[in-house]
Amino acid sequence: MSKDGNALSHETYRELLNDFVDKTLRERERLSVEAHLDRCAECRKLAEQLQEVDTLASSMGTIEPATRIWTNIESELDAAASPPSQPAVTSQSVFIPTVQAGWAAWAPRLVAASVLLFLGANLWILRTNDSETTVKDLRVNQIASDLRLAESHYESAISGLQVIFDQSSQTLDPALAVMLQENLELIENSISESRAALDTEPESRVAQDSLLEGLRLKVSLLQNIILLMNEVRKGNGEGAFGLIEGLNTP
Amino acid sequence: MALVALVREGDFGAFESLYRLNCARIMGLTYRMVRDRAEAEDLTQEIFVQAFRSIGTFEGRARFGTWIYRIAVRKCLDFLKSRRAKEQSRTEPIEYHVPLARPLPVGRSLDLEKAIADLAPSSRAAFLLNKVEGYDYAEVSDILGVAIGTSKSLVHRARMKLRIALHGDDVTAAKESRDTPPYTSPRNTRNDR
Repeated sequence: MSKDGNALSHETYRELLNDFVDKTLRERERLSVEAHLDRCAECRKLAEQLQEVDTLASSMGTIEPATRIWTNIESELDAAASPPSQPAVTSQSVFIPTVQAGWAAWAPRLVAASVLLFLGANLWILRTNDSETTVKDLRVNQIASDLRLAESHYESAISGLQVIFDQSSQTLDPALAVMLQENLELIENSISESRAALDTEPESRVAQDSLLEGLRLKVSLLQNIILLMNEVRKGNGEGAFGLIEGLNTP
Repeated sequence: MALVALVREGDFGAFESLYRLNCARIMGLTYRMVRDRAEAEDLTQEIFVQAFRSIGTFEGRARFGTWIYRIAVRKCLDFLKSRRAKEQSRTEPIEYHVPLARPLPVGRSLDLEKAIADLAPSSRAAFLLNKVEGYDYAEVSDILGVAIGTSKSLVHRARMKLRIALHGDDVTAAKESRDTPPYTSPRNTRNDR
């Protein structure tokens, strides 16, 4: 209804639907639009479709950039940046191979090496007295507040990738499949260890970083395994990147 | 904010933390803006390099996320402008598609991604910031450097276009829907329909 109590025109109601779906209408306007929707199938359908666009958009996921992007940034800023006082588990210490011709031949060793590097670094850091945990309270609080969000993104990606891996791992050579599965379990153990460390020391930045790095490694490893399975199945990489894009936007 | 302060003090580890916390969201935005993974990754890299170099200009009035999104959107729009200029300067004939009378029936999420790519760059940015990233209209206007009303208008127009891309402009068909009782108010019938 308009201010003077008269009903609005159909076109005016239609124009109000965006605000209605945004929930930014005042109470009086909202009630008026709702009353109109009760009797106008066209506007009701339009409102439902606008709402559907919002729902779909809000479910679009984040997309993890390749590990090398951080390495590139580090290199580019190397001259300007001061190195951290203590070595952290970074992408430099975890080498994730990209799929190239012949990857299947050397992948197991590299994957195993990267996992061992990662696990070694994690164990060293988690078992070293961590002076950083008490130095910057503001910093750990900031990270802690975002940790759960980041973790949920990784878990969401992992669950989707794991399903594909479980369904398609028979594509791989059995020995390779076993080795990759073992590596995934090693990473999972490390993630569990980081979580246990966080239970004891929730503010430990090192444990937080280790947890995120473990999750990141698992996502990267699963992505590379799936790329590999695609190459094996198709004889080339066709469609592999499209698949990764899809996997990155759960 | 605390991380930003540490970066300003020269703590590169704090900058890595900022990267880890924000890179996937920035990558999501850049990818959906340019629809090319390699270009999106290059842009993501450039955005964080610029953020590090200009961290001194971050005044702390907005969230760090809002600030870096401003850099990101500007980079993406500049990139698209440059790409468009390159495409227009080509001498070979440009391929085009005859528009379909009706949009193809589409699955939902994937087709929304494709439809977003067909929006004008500024509408695309406004829509992604508001509906995907969850920034309100005031924040979108701040990031895009436009009035709040403009940001709202960009998002609304984008959403209408996306709706049509997903469903076709079929709402008029609903007029004939049999399950809709006729509106019988004697005073307002003409105005209401």
